[in-house]
Amino acid sequence: MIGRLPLTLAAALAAGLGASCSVVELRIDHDLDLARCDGFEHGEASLGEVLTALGPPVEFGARGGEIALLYESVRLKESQLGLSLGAVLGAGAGDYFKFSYGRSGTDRKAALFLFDEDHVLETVNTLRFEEPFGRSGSVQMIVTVDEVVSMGGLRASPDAFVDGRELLRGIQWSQNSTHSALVELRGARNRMGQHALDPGWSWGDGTPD
Amino acid sequence: MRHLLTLALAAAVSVGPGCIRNSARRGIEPVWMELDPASFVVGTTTRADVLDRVGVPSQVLALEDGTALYYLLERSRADGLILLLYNQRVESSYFDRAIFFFDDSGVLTEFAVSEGAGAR
Repeated sequence: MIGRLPLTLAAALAAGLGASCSVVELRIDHDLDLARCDGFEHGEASLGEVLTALGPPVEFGARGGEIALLYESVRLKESQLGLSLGAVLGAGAGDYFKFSYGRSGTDRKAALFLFDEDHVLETVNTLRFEEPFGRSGSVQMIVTVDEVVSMGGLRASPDAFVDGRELLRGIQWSQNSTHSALVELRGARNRMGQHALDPGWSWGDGTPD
Repeated sequence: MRHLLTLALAAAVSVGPGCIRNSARRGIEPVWMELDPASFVVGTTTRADVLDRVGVPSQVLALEDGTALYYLLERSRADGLILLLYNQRVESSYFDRAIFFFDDSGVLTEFAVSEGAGAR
């Protein structure tokens, strides 16, 4: 009975203040099995074996006769706490808006395979990172369930969907686009590496912040 | 106390619950998912065969010693629940892909299709 009292009080307080919580989850592609990726022998496994075992890659590139395959999967979860502004500012327009504070964490997996000119595996590198992705606050309609922490960079369109469009942009963009055999992880920023000359800050797919 | 909690929850749920569901597809018709992967034979199937059976690819990549065709369809779906006190939205994107590598003569050297191909 004693244990129920704080819970009930918390629920009543939350309802009274118009507080609520939201969970926003983003999943991109099927879960990548990194143990399977690490199981290929360098200098022995062929491009065909890797493709047969793992399926088509997320991205691929070629330089001369060498080939790079990139596999990647993303899980991102954001937890929000919302507070009705009507409860804080008084009844009126504030009733329809809430202040949201969100915190998100990510679980990303990636594997990069490099093959030599004979299409034999030179190297494979895997990467997993589970860490906080960011935190942020916003004011939004009380009935919406939108992310507060920007996930835009992870939603980058696959190259196949922007094929050709890159050629219509500034010369810095088109020359450094991923179509020039560049393979990169989702969310890679510009103004670095092959994108060093890109004008302005943006996510890797050219979407402005 | 139990009644109070039940009442509070019932009130929250009855005031304005809602749900969201949307889905989208981007890319090309996944013809390759309907074909048996065994029907593509390394060393025999040609680029013309693949283009004829699977259609126009999403991307063509010129290699030093051949070409690669890449086919892609993105399927995304979002499901949401709005209960005021607790809200949830899960958005998932999955891809049906196929990739074919050909040598200088246009003969298939390696290929892969997404899991589930041929079963549809």
